[in-house]
Amino acid sequence: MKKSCLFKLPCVLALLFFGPDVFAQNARLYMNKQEIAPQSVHFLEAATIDSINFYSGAEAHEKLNLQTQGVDSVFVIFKKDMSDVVSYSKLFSLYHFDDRAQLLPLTIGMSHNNNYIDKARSMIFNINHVTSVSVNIMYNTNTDYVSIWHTYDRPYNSLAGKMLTWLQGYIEGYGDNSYYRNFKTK
Amino acid sequence: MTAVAGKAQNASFKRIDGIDCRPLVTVNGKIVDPLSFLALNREDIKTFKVLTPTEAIKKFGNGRSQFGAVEITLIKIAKTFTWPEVAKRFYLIPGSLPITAKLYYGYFGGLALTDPQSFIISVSKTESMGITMNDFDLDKPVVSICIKEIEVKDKTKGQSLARPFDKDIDAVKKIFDAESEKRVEIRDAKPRIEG
Repeated sequence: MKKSCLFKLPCVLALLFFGPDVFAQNARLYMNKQEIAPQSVHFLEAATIDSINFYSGAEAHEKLNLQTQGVDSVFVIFKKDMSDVVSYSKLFSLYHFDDRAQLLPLTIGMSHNNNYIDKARSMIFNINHVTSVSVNIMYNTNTDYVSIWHTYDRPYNSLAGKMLTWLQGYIEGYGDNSYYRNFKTK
Repeated sequence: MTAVAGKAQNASFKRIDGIDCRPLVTVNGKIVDPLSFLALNREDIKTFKVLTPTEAIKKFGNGRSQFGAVEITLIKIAKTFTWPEVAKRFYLIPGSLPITAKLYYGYFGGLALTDPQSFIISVSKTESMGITMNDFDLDKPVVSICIKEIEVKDKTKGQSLARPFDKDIDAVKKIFDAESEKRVEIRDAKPRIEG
């Protein structure tokens, strides 16, 4: 076996097994020019999205003037009509919560492992994709946290729908997402 | 006629369908939403009395008493929330909430409260509260409140503590369980669109 092959083989295997997960750690999501929490993909409506593009960090910085770095995987959602999108604080006021609730830790209902969401306040929501918002008391620690639930009626057949579904898997590592499964085995 | 009975006579009671057979419930002499029965911690109950439909109608007049009545008195140190208090506890703004509310307990589906404003709940049984914008059963925004099951323990022995009225409580609870099971059946029979 050639020396170069010996070097390449472990790299390819490492990419196959760890690639998506490693990249997901640096996944950054933008809605037009605004960076949003990656978990926002669960709450977006594919039919109202113009396009979703992928860039390397350097590419996004150069072409779109985004504050990204070379190691980042940048997904940019282009959407002109923002009338159906609400911010984190607006969602809480629409759901009749007072301002204090926004400061609580957040989980997404049916999330893979119910981890708290980092930078929750930068999340955005298509108002039609949120089904419920609740405040819960954590059993063991007796602390309060917020749980937000989303709908499951995504249009898988549209291109943006497929991309969004794939992004959900990419960001959360869902095991039951066919697009993510296909990606991992390719 | 006592003040309580007079109030019961005038209390608005609309039967939505034939599934709701909840008895009239009073706590410390005050008529409350029947689902308060499920939301009270047994440890907070001092006395528990079940009235037959005949006895209940005689005491409270017609209406919900046709399904009997339950009279509960609480121990003095019992900590309970009223509807506005529990809403505030869970960071909700009481005055602006949807008028329909549902209580979720155990593994059963939610039951709609008849009169949320008269609902009371033991502090120790509260688990979560929030808003569901488009409830699948009712097809409108609802306030959902979840309670947890609490086993009454004998603190000195660490074993389950038997109370003199446990059997009565379990018998009344079956009425709510039956309604809940029936509603789950109806809900599951509805077509559901999934992606």
